[in-house]
Order: sequence, then C-alpha cells, then structure tokens
Amino acid sequence: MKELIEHIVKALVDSPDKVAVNEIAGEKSIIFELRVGEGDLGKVIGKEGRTAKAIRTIVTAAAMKQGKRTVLEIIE
Amino acid sequence: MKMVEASGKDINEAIENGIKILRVRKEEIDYEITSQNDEETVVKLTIKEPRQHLHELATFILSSCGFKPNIEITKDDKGLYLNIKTRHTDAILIGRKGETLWSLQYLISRLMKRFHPNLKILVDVGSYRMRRNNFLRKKAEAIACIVLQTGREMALDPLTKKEQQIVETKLSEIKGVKIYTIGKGVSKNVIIAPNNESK
Repeated sequence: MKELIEHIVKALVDSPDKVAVNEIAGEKSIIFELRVGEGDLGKVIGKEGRTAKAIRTIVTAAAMKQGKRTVLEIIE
Repeated sequence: MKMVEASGKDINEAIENGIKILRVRKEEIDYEITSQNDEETVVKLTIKEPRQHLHELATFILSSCGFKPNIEITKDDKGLYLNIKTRHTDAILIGRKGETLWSLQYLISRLMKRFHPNLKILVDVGSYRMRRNNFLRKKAEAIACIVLQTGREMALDPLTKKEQQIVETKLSEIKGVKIYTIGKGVSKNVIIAPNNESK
C-alpha cells in the first residue's frame, strides 16, 4: 500500500524527490505519514480536498479487506 | 510529454533513469534502443497506448491494495469503459453509496490525464453503475406513476448529484410531474410532485 501512495503522489507533485511515505503499523491500525515538498501540499490535497479524500478512501478500502483501520496524514 | 530519451551505463539503468523523469512504472512504457556502445546506452521511452496503459495502471492500483482484479476494457464512442471484477470483494471496492468507486474513478482518470489529456474514462466495479442506473430509472418511473394517481407528493431516498441527474432526465420524459429538492448535503431529498399547472 505504501508503494501505491508513493506512486500516486509522485505522479501528481512538482518535486517527486521530496515525497516520502512512512508506515507505522499497529495492531489494529496503520498510520501513513506522507511528506511532500514545499508548495506541493495543495496538489496532494486537491480542489476542495478531493485528491486527499480519494487517496484516503482507497487506502481505507484496502485496509478494510485486512480488517484494519488506516490514517493518512499529510505533512509539508 | 509522452516520450522521453534517457541514457545510462547499460539498458536497465537507462530505462530506470527514463521512468524517473516520466514518473511512471516500468510496466507503463515501451522502450526502444536508439544507440548503444560500451559506455553508454540511449533509450527512447514512450507511454503505452491508452487502453494498455489503463489496464496496467488499474492492475497496479488494485493489486497493491491486495485485490485480485479481473479487468475488462471496452471502447465506446465516449471513451474507455473500465469494468473491474473481483471475487467476493466487489462490495469493498464500491463502498458506501459508491464512495470508493468514486475515488477509483477520480484517481485513475487523474493519473491517465497526464499523458492522455482528452481521453474520457468511466470506471465501474461489477457493473454497479449500470445496475444502479437501471434501478433508479425504474424506481423514478414507478413513483411518478403513484404520484400521478394519488396526486400527492412523494420523496426519494437521498441521492448523489449524478444519481439525481439520472432521475431528472427520466422524469422529464414523464408528463404531469415535477421535481424539487429539500435539505442540504447528505440529507438532500428529491421530491416528486404532481405538476398542476400543466393540467
């Protein structure tokens, strides 16, 4: 899943080198910390948060299959 | 930017460099060697044609989420129609009120738009959209009939914007009824009412 988030985000931003995804796995939940370069935050969030919402929904759906919860945090 | 030239010490490194520039995966491109000697290899990378590209992208997204998708792509006059089928996990991919399906649609078309700007893509899971649309049309028709007979207003379940549009187009074919909405956001309801003015 980490690979998926990275691939999607790298395709959207201006500076793909600064994209980093950190996975913190817990017993019942997984936290993804997504770091993007300066000025790219808006691109990841999207118009009215659409892109961020879409990524979160897909990650949640994928985790649901394994019976887990996920949190995606976006940090600049 | 559908095409890029890249170089490296050997062919693998050259491709590696090229996909970094394009920011795609190796499966999404075709390559061609333009020149090669002992020190340097130059390759030309091109993005695959839309249909194949879409197939690779959808397979990657779904399989890295842990699904085993069966992907079917058909072409119609509007663009490409992508139907995803999985075993027993369609419900997860559709989500509540088609939320996950919407996300898949949004992300896939967003990623495809980078290289194929004028291509329209419709994503579907297990023909959900088709089934839902048919169901909505039938329901709208049935309720309109009741409204016409009784002359009383009736409400539909909360619908998304797209669903509301479908109901509206269906009802515009039926004479004697009008529709309006009450409420906002999630609890926005469509009301079908008799149109007295036309009588």
